Amino acid sequence: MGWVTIEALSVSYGDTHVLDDVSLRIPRGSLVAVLGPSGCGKTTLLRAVAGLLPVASGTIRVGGRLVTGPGVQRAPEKRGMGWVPQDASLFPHLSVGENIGFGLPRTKQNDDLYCEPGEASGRVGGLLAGLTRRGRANRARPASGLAGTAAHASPLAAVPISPDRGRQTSRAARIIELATMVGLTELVDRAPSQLSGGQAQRVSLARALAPRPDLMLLDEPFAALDPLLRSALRTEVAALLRGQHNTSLLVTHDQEEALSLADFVAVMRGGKILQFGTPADVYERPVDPWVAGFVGDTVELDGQWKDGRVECALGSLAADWMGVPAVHVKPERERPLGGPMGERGAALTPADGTGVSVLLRPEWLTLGARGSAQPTTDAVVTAIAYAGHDALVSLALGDAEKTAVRARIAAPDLPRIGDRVTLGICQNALAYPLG
Amino acid sequence: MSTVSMMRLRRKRRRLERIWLPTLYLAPTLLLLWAFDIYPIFLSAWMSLWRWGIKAEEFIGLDNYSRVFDEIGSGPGGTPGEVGNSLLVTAFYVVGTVPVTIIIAFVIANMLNSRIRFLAVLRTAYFVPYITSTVAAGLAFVWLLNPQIGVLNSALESVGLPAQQWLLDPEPVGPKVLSMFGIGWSENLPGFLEGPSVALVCVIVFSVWNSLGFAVVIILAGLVTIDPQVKEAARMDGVNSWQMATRITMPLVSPTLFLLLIVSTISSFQSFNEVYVLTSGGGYGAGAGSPLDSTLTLPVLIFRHLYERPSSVGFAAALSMLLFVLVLGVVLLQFRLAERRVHYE
Repeated sequence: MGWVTIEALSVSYGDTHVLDDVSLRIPRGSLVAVLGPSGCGKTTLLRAVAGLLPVASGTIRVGGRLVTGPGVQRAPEKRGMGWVPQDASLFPHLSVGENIGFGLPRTKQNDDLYCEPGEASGRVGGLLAGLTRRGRANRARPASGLAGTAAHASPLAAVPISPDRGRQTSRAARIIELATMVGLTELVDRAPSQLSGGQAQRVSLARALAPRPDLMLLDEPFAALDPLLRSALRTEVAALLRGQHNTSLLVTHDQEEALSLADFVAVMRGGKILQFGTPADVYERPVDPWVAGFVGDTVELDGQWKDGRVECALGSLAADWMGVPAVHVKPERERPLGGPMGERGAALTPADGTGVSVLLRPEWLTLGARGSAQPTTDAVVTAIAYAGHDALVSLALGDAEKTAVRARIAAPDLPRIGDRVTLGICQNALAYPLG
Repeated sequence: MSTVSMMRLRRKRRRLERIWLPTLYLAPTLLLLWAFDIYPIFLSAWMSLWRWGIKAEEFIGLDNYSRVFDEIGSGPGGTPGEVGNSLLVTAFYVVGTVPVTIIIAFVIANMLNSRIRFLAVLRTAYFVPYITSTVAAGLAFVWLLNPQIGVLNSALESVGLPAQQWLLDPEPVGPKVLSMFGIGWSENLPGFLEGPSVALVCVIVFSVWNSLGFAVVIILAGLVTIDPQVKEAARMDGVNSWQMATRITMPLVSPTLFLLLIVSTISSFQSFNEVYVLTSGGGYGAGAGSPLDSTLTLPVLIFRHLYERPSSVGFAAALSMLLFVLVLGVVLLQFRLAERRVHYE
């Protein structure tokens, strides 16, 4: 059983089906990324889970609790989910600390973060303190010295920890805890307008985490940040979500983000989930060429199937048949992660001589025969796109059409344009049906 | 030409651009402001120091003001004088219109701001009273509230309730309402506790109805600037509708509410048409501010002295200065109290 179970979910705007029979299971404590191009329905999926829009049919369960189903549409505020929108959407009129504490239960007695131990919180004086300038000034001042004298005066202070007081301190403590967690302890008194984009997004995350939600929903939380900050923050956020054992659903159109952060990736297109699996699964065994192209660079060649191999411009390569559309929505039922899929592929392989589409990743091509699991071929370097850590090298093969392929080569080993090189291939090629 | 004189020339040029050009641009506005706002203020301050009929007759210093203060508290039998009564009526009127209008408008604007059908139609419907001539709408109200042939009284009578005098009723509402529940009124209580007259309440209701559309549109304009994502974030953080209104919407729309508070306070203090149309003339043969001066707000009193008692123009000017100081004081007070409650981004 998944912690979050989405079954046969459909959402339409008028006559347009935005989500079409979507099913997804999210294991407890895992981070699932929904990856897709804009307009594929991924944000709609997130909003449907949040309860922010009505669904046409289907069910959503969180921790065994039905939140959306036939006749059931639990209000968003009662779903106990954390929400991190794309542009942080902090409450502009509240301090950072109050933003973080917004969803935490307040006591009737006093809901101020800076309630000092000596302050008579339940009495009129306490209530008025927030309304007057002097009261605020008093509150902002540290209580050292004041607390001792006031403790005798205040009848409430005689009982050291009333239940309310306990909750009160826990609220303030939780705010501090989260501010510390996202590294913004010194900014709790700031106004949101004084924060940078990255800081605002951290506050937004802390705000969502504060009430300990059953499920965290993140809607492209890093899209609005500059690239350098983005990669730093997302690593941090992923670590944080894992550290909290949070179950999270992240929506993104950035394949690098999805692959690097998530435990499982769901690739969406046109309102349907095309593939669900681990990042390695999705990247190395994409269910179709579109998914392959969406999650990363590809080298695509035409070829012919021949007894577990494909004949193509690169020669005769060992290949896996990917012709069976395999939509894995339930990771538990899958074979051991990263294991071979050969058995099922073998049973349904096409007849020899059938035309297939051959697909490779540029990094599966290597320079030189060393480490190659496949026969090698000669090629000429035609262009190099240098990217620092590595480079995308365009090559013309030695066949009649001078077929162009690209290889990702680590920076130290780069050839020069015009060099004649030997190409090795270190992994089985993927073969898909044509068309 | 030497470098020095070049520089001097340039400096002159810059002076021209920095000082004279802006002045030129502002001149039309400043001229109008002077002619219709600033000059009249000084003129009426000047007039208030004179006995002034058709023209200035005699410089009498602060005599007009001492008469103003005399008439605050020297009515027959210890009751407030004409000015005192007028101040009380004005206070009832402002307190009765401004907060009520803003609260109702806030609720309506919130309803209009949620996605509902016929939004444009409803918004127009609320705005129409505001653009309708106050006189025309007021006359319609006069007919509705007519004790003999008015629709309201026939409606009351058809369900077995007693007909009311409405705009002709100078009785205070306080004792009237209590007696409906069989509770008597103690004569020892101060007079202002009895509340405004029935007639004034009718005027207040009309004013609220009349100015509601303006307030709704202003608040709506403030509401649409609130980022819906912020509201969504709040909902996901667990707030219900009431908390949404008090913890998110209200603070975020507070600059608009404050603006509205100031504008409607000022216009409420100054409103003349509403009172004049509803409770004077109209075939009842009574002067402005009748019945028994129970709807005699300060602007109407100024009008009375200015046009109905032509010899006391100087006194009317003194009353205008009183109104000026009063409005200024109340607005400053509002600024001071609201300073910390209003959130500017």
